[in-house]
Amino acid sequence: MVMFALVLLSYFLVTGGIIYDVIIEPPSVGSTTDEHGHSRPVAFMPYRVNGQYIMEGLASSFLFTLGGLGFVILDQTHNPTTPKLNRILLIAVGFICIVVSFITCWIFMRMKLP
Amino acid sequence: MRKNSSSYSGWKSLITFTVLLLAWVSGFASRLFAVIRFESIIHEFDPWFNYRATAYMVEHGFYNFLNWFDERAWYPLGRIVGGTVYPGLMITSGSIHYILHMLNIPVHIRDICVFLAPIFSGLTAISTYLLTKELWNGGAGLFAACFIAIVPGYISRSVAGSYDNEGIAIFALQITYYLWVKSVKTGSIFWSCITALSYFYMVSAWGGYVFIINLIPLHVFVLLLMGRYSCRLFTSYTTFYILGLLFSMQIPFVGFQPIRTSEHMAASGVFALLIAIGILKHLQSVLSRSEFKYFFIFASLAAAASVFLVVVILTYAGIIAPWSGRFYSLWDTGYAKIHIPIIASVSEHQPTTWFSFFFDLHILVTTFPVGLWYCIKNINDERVFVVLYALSAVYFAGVMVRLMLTLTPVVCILSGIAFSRLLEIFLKEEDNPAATDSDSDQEATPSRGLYDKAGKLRKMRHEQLKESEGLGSNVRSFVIVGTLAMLLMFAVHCTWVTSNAYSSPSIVLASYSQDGSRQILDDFREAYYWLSQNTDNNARVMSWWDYGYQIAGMANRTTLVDNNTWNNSHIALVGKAMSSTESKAYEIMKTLDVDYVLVIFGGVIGYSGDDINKFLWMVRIAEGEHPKDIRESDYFTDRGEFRVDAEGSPTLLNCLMYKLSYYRFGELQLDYRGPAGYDRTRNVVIGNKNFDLTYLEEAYTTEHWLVRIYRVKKDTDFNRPRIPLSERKMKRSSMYISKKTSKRKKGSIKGKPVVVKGKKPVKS
Repeated sequence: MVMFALVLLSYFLVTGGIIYDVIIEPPSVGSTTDEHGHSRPVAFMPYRVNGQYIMEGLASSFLFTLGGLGFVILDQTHNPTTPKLNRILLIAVGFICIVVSFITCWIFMRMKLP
Repeated sequence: MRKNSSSYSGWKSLITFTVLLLAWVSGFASRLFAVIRFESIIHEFDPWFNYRATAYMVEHGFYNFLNWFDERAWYPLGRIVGGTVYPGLMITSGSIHYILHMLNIPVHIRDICVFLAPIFSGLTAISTYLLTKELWNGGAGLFAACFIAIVPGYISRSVAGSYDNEGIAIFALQITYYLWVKSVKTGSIFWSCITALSYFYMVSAWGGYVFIINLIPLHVFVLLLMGRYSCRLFTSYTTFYILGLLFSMQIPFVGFQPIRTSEHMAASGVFALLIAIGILKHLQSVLSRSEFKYFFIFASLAAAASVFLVVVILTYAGIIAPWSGRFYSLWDTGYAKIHIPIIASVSEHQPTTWFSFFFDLHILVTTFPVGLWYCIKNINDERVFVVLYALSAVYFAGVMVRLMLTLTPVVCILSGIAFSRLLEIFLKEEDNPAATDSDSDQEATPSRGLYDKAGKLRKMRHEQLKESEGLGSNVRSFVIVGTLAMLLMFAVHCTWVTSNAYSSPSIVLASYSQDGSRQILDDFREAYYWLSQNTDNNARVMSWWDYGYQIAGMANRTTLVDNNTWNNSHIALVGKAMSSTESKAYEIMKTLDVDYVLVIFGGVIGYSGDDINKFLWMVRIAEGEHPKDIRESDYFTDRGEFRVDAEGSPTLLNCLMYKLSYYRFGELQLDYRGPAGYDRTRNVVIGNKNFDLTYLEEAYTTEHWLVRIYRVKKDTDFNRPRIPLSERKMKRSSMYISKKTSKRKKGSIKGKPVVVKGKKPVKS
């Protein structure tokens, strides 16, 4: 279990593009100027496939990990000692995790695509 | 769904066969977008060289290919092609060509090259199935096979026309791993010999074989650490290592590297360790306990001392070469950025962002840790292997976008395991445990085949069956339908990505106008065809290295640098010529005997991959070799911006690349309202509009100005600036006086009597 936790942590960091962050050193959050001249923070580097801000990478890799955990939770439900209500709750939680992470990632991808 | 066992196994193999066949067909079909949209054409840059080499091999035979000295590349150095390529790709397609022609099927070698990668994707799917079957079970294997057939991370390297080493190398990688796992499981010499053979094929195909020769020893090492030493492991690794070592040294390009470079040292170290442990285990069975303890201490001290001495001596003597730059940059990630700009300049060597992970793997990126979790939970010898494979591949994929390719197969394997487990759990009927196995196994297969709409019907029936079981079943079927919907989304995403992102040949560009009609921009081939028809056969063309292979392949002209970037200083010289002023560049071009200069210019159509956008890399690479003449900071404005408009730095506005790209561009008005000389790629009006070229003249510009070719003037037809006669320092004398006196005239006879009119000849 400890082993898996370590693996998952490193997976979380690598898919978040931590190596990209170290080498390229992007800002954590970008900023843009709106029509009134105010500076507004922008979380996503839009229309750039090969670029990212630190926060956006971490957010999406968090979602990846969340989706993975959802699948693990779904696996836990087949334990025969679990009461029925708990089982349904677990299934619901796991499934919601998966769906949320999936849909959010998809929206993120849409935001970045030109 | 027969219950008796014989027909059950029959059904099982039928389903397996059908699913694998469907995976092959759909994988093949989804890679054909480029062929259908454009034509059967080789893509991009490297494939052009592979194609040229293959055509040469088919024409001149294998031995001539091995001895081929290509004098048309790297002028004036040339390139020994036979000793500097991985010949597996050429041999594969060459032998397919040979067999087809023996059967009197006349297929052009180009078509074989174009369709090789899609065909091999099917073989990759099958080998992935076999590997996953060894690791988990058949159902997971079918999932994995279907995933790898359509996953974008692999399609990006294996669409029809991208005739590159990776296309066949992934197949070789997977089959080697399968055979290795098999040989560790059985411990038979037969399987390990086959592993070594397939490793040989991998070495002949791709430089990525280093991944195998490090991963397998790592697997052995970790197994030793976990105390899982066994005779099976000993047999399989020693056989594999010795045979693999000998085989890999047969490839001319690899040569003595396996015993001389640091990349391969881990394998031999593990080999020595394994033998030492084998001896110890043997002695343990022979000696008594106290004797063994004494011996163990003595032996370990002696071994440590000798290993230390050997390493020190070898490194001191310089026999073991240090890590090469490309591998070094994998560990020290900042290394390439500082020291080797030529590696950092390639966009596929950039570190990976989260987007690439999601774009190339989609839903699999979340199921990957789940599969890993199952493997760690139920660990055994071969699952240790897949865990190590997964971890190292994830790390490498994070360092370089390109190595996403080695990550993709393991992601497919682990996701296959995850999905198969999930469906096993949720398709299980609680009341009837006897039927579960067959059900889950059979259900797992068609559900994956969902995107070719094979399993839908059966799914529905199953659902209805479940609903009678109460609340739990309802939730279950809900989960299953959701999962299947996600898989459906995955298939849709894969097809969409393939058709939009990975299927452009990049030789032929297409643009879509507002009414949806398509325009083909065929400027590259237009320019190369012009070169092949209108220039001398031995003309030397200077361009940035990206276009070297294409010029050699399509125009058949001599190039100075190409995509095989083995000589950094030569590339730096070309970079220096491109970034100097015209007169300085002319000196360099004269020493290099350049006849034509070719630049790519995208300002008219808004093509972003042109030479001005790559220009900073030329400057950087040139600066690395000639720091006195070229400084990167000169090409930026005072505020540190790289811009080509009027505010750009004067050095930039007068360098050769700028002039060649924008020559006479200032006269061109792209639309009626816009100003003249408006660059659509960088969205600015260029800064230096009116200039003339002294040392070069425009030879050809393609229809959309994408490729511009200039002729370098020779000294003989050199147009020196005209100086009025009065200002010339050297006055031309009006009369021509021959230096020859009457006696030194050609053909005169010595002692010939001189005849003077009206005088008698005098006798001497």
